[in-house]
Amino acid sequence: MSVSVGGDGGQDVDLNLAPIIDCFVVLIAYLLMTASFISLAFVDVGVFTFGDAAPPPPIEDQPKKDPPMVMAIDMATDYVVTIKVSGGKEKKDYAVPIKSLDGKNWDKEQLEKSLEQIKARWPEIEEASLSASGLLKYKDIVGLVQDIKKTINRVMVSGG
Amino acid sequence: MSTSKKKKRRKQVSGDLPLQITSMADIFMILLVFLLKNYATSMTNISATTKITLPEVKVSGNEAPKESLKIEIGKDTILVDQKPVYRLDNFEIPKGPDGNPPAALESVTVALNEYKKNSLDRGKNDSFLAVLADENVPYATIQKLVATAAGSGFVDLQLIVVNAE
Repeated sequence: MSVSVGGDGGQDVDLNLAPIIDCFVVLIAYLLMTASFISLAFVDVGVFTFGDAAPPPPIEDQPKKDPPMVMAIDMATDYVVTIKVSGGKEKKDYAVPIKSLDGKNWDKEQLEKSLEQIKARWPEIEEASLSASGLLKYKDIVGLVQDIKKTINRVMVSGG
Repeated sequence: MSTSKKKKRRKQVSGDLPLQITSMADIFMILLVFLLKNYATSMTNISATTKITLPEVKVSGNEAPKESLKIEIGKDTILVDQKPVYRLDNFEIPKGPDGNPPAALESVTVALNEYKKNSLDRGKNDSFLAVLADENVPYATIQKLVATAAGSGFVDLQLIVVNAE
């Protein structure tokens, strides 16, 4: 590569590219060795644990409030997901079982639809707690958590 | 053609033509830009120490995880901060003499508490934990580990997965 210096009628000088090429070779070798071509991502979840502690006693002077709406999702080994909603003004529990279409896979489409309907009816629900059979595989759990998170912001997994 | 003539001709050619490295520099430049762009977006600080097949999940967004303690669950061991702390039996927690799995994973608790203590000494109260678990780990093992982690104050889990884009 040559460049002209000194304006019109100037001298042609050859640029020495060899040290730049050297740098490139070293940098490319380093980047190729350290780069990870697998795209990793993360699914963030909270933890809820079961305990024996009693709930705090109610304060007598305060007016009684309705219990908050809570959503619990249960995964069974036969690919059935049950969404349970309880609390609120209605003081009534709802359970929506979502069965597998083929007995081999989770019906994620129906799960998303049901969650959207529940969210539309009770928009105050911000989080869901997930419990599952101990025999289920981790890939099933994390896949379903991600599907739930499309509708519900925060998912809590059970510990213990 | 005799050998002396061939040598003479080769000498002349090599002397006349300078090496054209401009095109090579162009290729290197493109490669470098591509690698640097990929390097910046990949989660280079998170990689499994043991042989783990991470589950594939389609995750939208490209948010980087918070820097946190890393816990790995493989076929034979649980590693906390790249150190093996608990032995597993084919992804499962080995049963005790009474035929039941132990109530708590004591060695994991010790390792987590030690990390927590060190981070508190440095003025950080970290509740985040990056979990790299094999896709075939049963939920019973995860559940036990989650309970152990929660007991040590790690209540925000980042489940590391392969993004199936």
